[in-house]
Order: sequence, then structure tokens, then C-alpha cells
Amino acid sequence: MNVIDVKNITKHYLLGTQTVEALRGVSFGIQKGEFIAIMGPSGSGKSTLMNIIGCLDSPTDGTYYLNNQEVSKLEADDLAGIRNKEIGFVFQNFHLLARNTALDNVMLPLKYAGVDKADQVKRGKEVLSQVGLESRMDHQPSELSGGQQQRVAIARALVNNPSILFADEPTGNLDSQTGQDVMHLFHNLHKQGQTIILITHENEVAAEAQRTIFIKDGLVESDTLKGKS
Amino acid sequence: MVLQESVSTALDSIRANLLRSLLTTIAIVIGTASVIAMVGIGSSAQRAIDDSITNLSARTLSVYPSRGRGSQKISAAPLSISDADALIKDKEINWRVSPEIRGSKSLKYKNESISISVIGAREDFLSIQGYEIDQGIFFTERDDLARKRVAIIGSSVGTELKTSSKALVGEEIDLGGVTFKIIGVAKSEGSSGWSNPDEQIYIPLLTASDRVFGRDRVDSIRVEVPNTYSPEEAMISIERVLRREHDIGPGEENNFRINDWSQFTDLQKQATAIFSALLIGIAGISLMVGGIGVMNIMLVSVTERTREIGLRKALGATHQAILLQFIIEAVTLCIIGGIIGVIFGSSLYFVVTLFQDWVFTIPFSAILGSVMFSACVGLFFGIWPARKAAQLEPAVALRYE
Repeated sequence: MNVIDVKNITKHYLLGTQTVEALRGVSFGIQKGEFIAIMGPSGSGKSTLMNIIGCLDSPTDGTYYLNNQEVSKLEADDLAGIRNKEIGFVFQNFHLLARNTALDNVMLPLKYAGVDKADQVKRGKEVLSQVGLESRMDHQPSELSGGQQQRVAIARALVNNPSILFADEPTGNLDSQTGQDVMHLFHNLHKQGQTIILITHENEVAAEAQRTIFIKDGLVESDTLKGKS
Repeated sequence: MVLQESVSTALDSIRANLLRSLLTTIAIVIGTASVIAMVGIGSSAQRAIDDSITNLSARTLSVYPSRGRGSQKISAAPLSISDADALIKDKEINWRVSPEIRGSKSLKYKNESISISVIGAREDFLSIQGYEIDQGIFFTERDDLARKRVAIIGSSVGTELKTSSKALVGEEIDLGGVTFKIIGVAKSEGSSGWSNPDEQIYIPLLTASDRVFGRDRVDSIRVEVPNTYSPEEAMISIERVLRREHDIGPGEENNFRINDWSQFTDLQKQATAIFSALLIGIAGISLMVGGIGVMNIMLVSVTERTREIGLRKALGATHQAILLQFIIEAVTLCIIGGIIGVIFGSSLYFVVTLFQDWVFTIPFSAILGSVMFSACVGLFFGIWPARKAAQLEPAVALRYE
């Protein structure tokens, strides 16, 4: 069963008087439980594709099915609901709220989901211990190392049991050792059946995934499966 | 997201920029403080005026001579003692009437000489004025008819003569060349603003008329009207008697005027109302300026926190959730300003009550109302910045540098 099905996705921007075609007809499917890397040079349309798959933006044309639901035509607030429940984001620069504790940061998606306070705390602690940070939950981001901050961000991404874990250059701001630790965490999550999409421009990082989709000039240039898991 | 969460988020971000936030609220503080001070001072002043009116068991009207404004036909027609007697004899007017002659004379006692305000009056003067005798006695009707040279002095006259008023009782003094015997001292009344009864000397009316001033023209006739009559009714009755005495034909103007002391309190009320209106103006402008300040700072805040807004949207915040978060922040900011304003305004009012010897009372509705109004200012001026925040595109906001 495909978690994601995109068909003939296009995206046009109006830049001044010029129309920029960022995506010119992209199609692929992603199965549940896949660990996939999306690569491409800057200006390839990779970021645009990521925004659309992450439900942060809507395509100009084409269809996007997420869990067999067409999301390409949804309104902004419905997309917010999809992002909240189906997608967990991990960003290059962590994007944690500086004045909130690790636990509060992790609970944020649950607040927007309207979960009870008691359940928020329970679930928040659960995912923090899943990433090995239960002892640091009362610390603010400034009191945590880069690797710890990224693990808080991963816990936050997992807190609503999303269909997809979406990681945009997750190791870009980390040294190689902590980067490897984070990748190790991704592999563990993958083993537990989590679908993971990794956006990266580093071959090394992409090599960790089972499958790589390469984007160039707004089109899928290659889509390759590797033996490695 | 629950309201409580939004408020604590709002307080966090206000705390993060504490100085900036407090400076922003200054105009709100001034506005609310003006409202609270105004309501307090206004109600205390009103209460003081009301008290002073109800404290009088009867009100007094004063009649003065007048030339009639702008009219040549009416000659100077002074009030006389016979006018006062006509008022007393009128069967409709059975109120107490006190004709008074006033003037300034030099008073000599031993080697001291001072200039003093002399009041020639009848026995009723004391009780109509509400004055009391501290030492000795007041003169009687008999003293008046006999044109006796007796006098009562105000409580601080003795000090002016380098002795004590008490020691002067029974002493003889020289008043404008006439020798008087001091028979009493009035209790201290304190200055009433334009005259100080403590520095005056009181002598019988006919003594003043015949022996000191040499005229039977009086300077004023005071009439005590019982509370059962309205001042208008009383004025009409007095007018009727005096027009007859002065031979004023129909259609001619009065050559005297009647002052109602409640006109004075009306004036005070008017002054208070003008003062209140002025403060309301200041409050309105301050709150308006404060609202614009809050709007400005909220726009800055939205720009500064674009990435945070992007993140919140990525995590599932709806348009409404972001809108609410920023409106609550603006409202919280204004409520804080409002509360500080209430504290400042109450303090200001409290200081004023100390100086004016007023009762300190602020109605709770005024406090609640002004804080609520501040909240409304926050709501009104917070909507636009909050809409700007809510309308940000998540993908764009996340990558905002």
C-alpha cells in the first residue's frame, strides 16, 4: 500500500512578470515503511517538492494522495490538520521554541491537536524517552547540545504517530559523530516500521536510505533502489 | 489551543521583551490612570459638594444693591435698614432677616493700631451665620436699639494686637475714633476664601449706622429660607417686597440682586464637569495612542517571530490558532497596562484625597470598566498584526531569514 502517491505534480510561481516552473510533472509513489532520500541540487525543485509532500504548499496541478486521501485540493486549515496528524517534521536548524522546555516543545503538536493536558504530558514523556532524553525534559534548548536538540525535534515529530517522518537535512548542523547518532536513531525508527523521507544533498546521508529519488530541473531524473537497509 | 496556554505563551513573549513591552504600554497606563483618577476625584468632589449643601438646615439668600446692568434709567438705589424691616414685617416672609453694614476702620488698643473689617449686624447674625461665642457674650437687640458701643472680636484679633483675644474681653478699644468695650470673642471659623471671620470685629447694626459709618445704607441683607421653600419661591417673595419698597413699576428692572449660594455650588459642579471632560479627553487620546503603540509593537513582534509562526503552522496550528495567539498577546499587553494604570490612578487620587480631606472611594465598576476598555483597545489594535501573522505562508515563513 502506498502512503504517498503523486501524479504529474506541477508548481508554477510568478516571479515579477515571469512564470517560474519549479516542478514540471513529477510522479512517484512511496510505500508504507520505506526509508527514502530525495536529492537534488539547489534550484532543482527539491524544496518545492518537499513543501508539497509536506503539505506546506499546494501544487498548481496534478494529484497528491496521502493515505488514499486527495490532499492536493485541500484548504489551508485542512492542510494544517494533515500536517498535525500525518506528518512529523525534522528541520536542519531544529526549530525549537527557545523559551520552552524540551517537554513543552514536544507537546506543542498535541496542543494543536486538542489533546488533554494530562495525556500531552504522558505522551510527551513517552517519546522523549524513546529518543533517550527523559532526563533532560525540563531543560530549555539553550541547555542542550546540538544532537540533543535534534533528538527533541525528532521526538516532537513522532509525538502524533505520523504516517511520514519528514527530515530536511537533519544532520546539516551537526558534527559527523552526532550526525551518525541521529542517523542511527532514524534506522531504529525505520526498523519499527516508520516511513521516513530524507531530504539531503549529501550522498553519504542519502546512501543510508533504501531508495533515492533524484530531482533535476523540476523533473524526477532517477529513482533507484539500493540493496542496503 | 486552550486559552490558558495562549495567555502563558503571551506572558512569556512579553517577559522576553520586558522593557520594550512596558514602554509600549505607557500610553495605556496614562489613559487608564486618568480615568481612575477622574472617576475618584469626580465622585469625591461631588460628595463634598452634596455634603456641604445638606449640612445647612436652611439655605441663605443674600440681597445686594445693584444699578441694573446697562440701563441708564435706574438710579443707584441703595438697600436700607427699612428694606430689611419691610421684609421682616411682610406676613408671607416670616423668616429671619439680617441686614449688615460692612466697612474697614482702624482699631487702636494701647500702642497697637491695625486696620480691621467691621460688621454691623443684629443679634440674629450669629445664628444665621452659624458662628458661636467662645468667650463672653454677643450683643442683644436691646444693645442694638440703645446703640451701645460694644463689640465682639474674631479669635485672631487679639494676636494681631500683640495680646490674646481672651485677655481683651472687658477691655476698651478705639474703633475709628469711637470707644468700644469688647464683650465677647467668637470661636475660630477659619478663612472662607475671600474673607476671614477670625480677623473681623462685630458691632450692633444701629451703632454702626449712627456712630461709626454715619449711614443707614446697608451692604447686604441676608435672608434665611427654611428648607420647605425652594430658593425660587423665596426669591419671588423677596423681589415682591423690595420692588414695592423701591417703587419699581411694572416692566422696570430690579435695582437690587439676590444671590443664591447654591449658584456657587452649581459653579463648582460645572468646574468639576469641565475638569472631568478634560481628563476623559486625555484618557481617550492616550488610549488611542497606546493602541497604535501596541499595534506597532505587535507588527514588529510578528516580523521577528516569522519563523516561529512558520514552525507552529508546520506543526498543525490553524489560521485561527495563530490569530488567537497574537490577539491574546496584544490584549494581555493592554490589560497589564490597564492594571498598572489603575494602580497609578488610584495612588494619584489617594494623594489628592489627603490634600483635600476627601473620602477615598473608587467604584469597583470603574476599575473593571477601565481594565476592560484597555482590553478592548488591545483587541481592536491587535487584530491587524494578528491577521498578518495568521496569513503567513508556512513554507515561506519557515525559511524567513
